[in-house]
Amino acid sequence: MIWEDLNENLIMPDLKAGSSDEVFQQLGGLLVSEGYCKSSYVQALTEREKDFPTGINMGNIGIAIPHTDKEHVIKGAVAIGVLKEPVHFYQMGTNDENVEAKLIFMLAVKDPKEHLVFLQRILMVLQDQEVLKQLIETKNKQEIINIIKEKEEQL
Amino acid sequence: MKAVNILSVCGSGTVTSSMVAAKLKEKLGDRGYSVSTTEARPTEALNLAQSGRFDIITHTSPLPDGDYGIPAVNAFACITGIGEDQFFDQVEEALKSVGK
Repeated sequence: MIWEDLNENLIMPDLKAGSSDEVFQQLGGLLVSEGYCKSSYVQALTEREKDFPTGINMGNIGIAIPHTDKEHVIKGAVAIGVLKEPVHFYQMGTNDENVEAKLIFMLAVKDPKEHLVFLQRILMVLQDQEVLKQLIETKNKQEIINIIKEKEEQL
Repeated sequence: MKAVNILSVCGSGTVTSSMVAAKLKEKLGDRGYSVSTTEARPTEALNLAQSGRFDIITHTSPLPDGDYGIPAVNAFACITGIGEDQFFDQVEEALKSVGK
């Protein structure tokens, strides 16, 4: 279950950022300071995002799932940020389609094979519009975990 | 079950290609296929495609120009869940077009 592995220390429910780079510094910085990623992670996110954008227009709600190569990761984790004001990303697979992201699921993936089920479940959670709506409206870390838990229990 | 080999490509060669690979195994399994996948980065895709080991490519990032020699299907729908059934239809058509 995803929710069991979520850590309140890795959730920023009222994230203020003016650009994707600021998102990477704050949320990625958290993964570094909490010991999940090497200090090179933040810069690697920034570089990778330029070549391979991670924004996704999920129906009416813009999200982003920034991540980068496993050599910058110490152990797998997910950091979640709910943005106070939407931040501009480009849509995955394009360099000209805009995404105004309200929700960030930042993935630190060490071994995708080991985390396959985990990654699949993240997708199933993010594909539910109602869940996304709830996630961007709450300002409470524990509630974010609870919303994901409730969704997972229905899967 | 028809055994097929799919090359799943994404920007990092890990995260979204793994997500797509898991979905392919599940959904194509329901359609009578036994799916093996290899995850790769866009820069590795051309060499792997030309190795002759793969039936088709699915990708969530653009593929560099080149003669891949096998069908390529955009897998972005697999990430959003929007238009996912059409995506699996396209994959099945692509597999049929190579005789699988």
